[in-house]
Amino acid sequence: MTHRFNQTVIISAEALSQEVNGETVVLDLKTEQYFGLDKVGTRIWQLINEHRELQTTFDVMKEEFDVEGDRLESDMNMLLTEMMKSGLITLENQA
Amino acid sequence: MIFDEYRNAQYGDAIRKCVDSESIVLDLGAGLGLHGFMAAKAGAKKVYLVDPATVLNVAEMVGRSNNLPGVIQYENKKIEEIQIPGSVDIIISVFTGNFLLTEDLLPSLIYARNKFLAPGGKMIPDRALMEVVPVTSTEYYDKNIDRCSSPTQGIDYSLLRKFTSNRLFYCNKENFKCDYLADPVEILDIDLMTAEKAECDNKLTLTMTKDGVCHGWLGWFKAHLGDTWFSTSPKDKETHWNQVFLPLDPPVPVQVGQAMSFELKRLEFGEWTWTVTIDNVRQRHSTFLSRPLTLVELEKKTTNHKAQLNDRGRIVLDVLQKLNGNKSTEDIASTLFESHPDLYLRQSDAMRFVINLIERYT
Repeated sequence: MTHRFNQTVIISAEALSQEVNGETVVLDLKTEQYFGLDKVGTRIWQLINEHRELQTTFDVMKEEFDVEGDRLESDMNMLLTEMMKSGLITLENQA
Repeated sequence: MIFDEYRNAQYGDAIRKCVDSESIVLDLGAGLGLHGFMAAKAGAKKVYLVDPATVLNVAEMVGRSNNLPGVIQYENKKIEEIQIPGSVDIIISVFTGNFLLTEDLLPSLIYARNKFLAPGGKMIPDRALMEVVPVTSTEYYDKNIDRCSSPTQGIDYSLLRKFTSNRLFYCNKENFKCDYLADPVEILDIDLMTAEKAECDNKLTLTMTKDGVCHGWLGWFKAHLGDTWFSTSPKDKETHWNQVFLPLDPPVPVQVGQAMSFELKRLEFGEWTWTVTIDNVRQRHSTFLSRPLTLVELEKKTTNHKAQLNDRGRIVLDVLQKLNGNKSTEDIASTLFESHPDLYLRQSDAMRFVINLIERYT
C-alpha cells in the first residue's frame, strides 16, 4: 500500500511506547500485542509523534539518514502499512 | 495465610451455610486444605482438594493427623489435569491476588466452574469487586518515588523514576499512611458465576471531597462469601492481602468539588494501565513502562515470531527425549556430562539438571 505523504498520522490512544537504547517497543493496549521498531523505525515513530505530518517526517528522515527518496518512501510505506494493520495509527487527509 | 483468622472465619461461615450431607465440594487452589477441611467437617459427601503445589502433601498429613472424615480426596495436580466423576455442587477458592486480577488466578477458577460446577451449584466467593480511591500519601511517595530524584553515593539514579512511577506498589496499613481525597468507588464488579473473562476496562469520574495532593490511587478487592462481603480495604480488618498503590507522577493538587476521572485497564495476563484526567490534563501510567523491554525480548512475545531453540533448549529437548522409561537418571546425566563438558563442571551438576527436568515433566 502506498501512502500519500500529504496525510497526517493519528496515533491510537491505545498505543503505549517505550524506547530502550535507540529501539522502541509499542504496546497496543486494546489487543495486548507488542510491536518492535528498530533504530530507523524508532526515529520515524518519534517524528510522527512530534509532527503528525508524513511529509515533514519524510523530509527530516531524508536529511538525517542521507538516503535516496525512493528508498525512504518505500521503507516508510512498509512501516506505516504494518502499523496501520496493527491498529497503532490511522492516516487522515490534511484539511 | 493459613492463620488469617478474619478471612478463615468468613469463609467458614459461608461454607457451613451451604454445605450439607449431599454436597460434593471442590476446594480449588487448596493449599493447606483448610477450606476443604471445613467443608468435610460440615458434613460434605465428598471433598476434592486440588493444588499443583507440593504443599498439598502437607494438607494430606494435616488431614490424617486431625482424623478428618474420609471423604477427602487430594489431587496434587493442576485443575486442567484432574478428572472428577460427574460434577461438583460447590467450588471454594481463594483465587484472588492483592488487586483481584493480579497473579491471574481467576482464569483457572472460570475453567473449573465451566467444567465441573453442576447447574444450580454454588461458588464461594460468587462475586468480587475492585474498589479504588484517590489518596494523598506524602511519606510513602517521598520514600518510594521522589527518592529516585536524589543521588545515592554520588550516583544519579533519577532515570529510575520513570520506571518506578509505573509500578504497582503493594502496601498495607502499617507502611502506607494515607488520606482519602474522595469516597471509594467500584471500578470492577465480576459475577464469578457467569464471567468468562477476568479483565478490567472501566472508567469512572469522582468528585473530590478533600483538598490535598493526589499522589495516586489506592485499590483493593471485596469478595462475596455466602451472604456477606469480605473486604481487604485498609479501613476494614487486617488480612494477609495487601492493598495496591497506583502512583501518579507528578502528583496532582486537587480541591474539594473538583472532578477527576480514572480509567483502569487490564486484560488477562496483561499489563496494568491507569489513566487519570483532571482539568483536561491527562496522565497515563502502565506496568508496561515499569521495566525496559528490548527488541530481542519483544520478538519472543510476537505471534509471527519463528523461534529456534538455543543451546540450552536443545539440551533440554535431548534429555526429555531420553525420558522414555528405559534409561536411568544416572545414565542420562553421565551422557549429558560427557557430551557437554563445557557446561557442567561435575557430573553432579548434570545430575541436578536432569533431576529438575524429571521432577517437572514426568
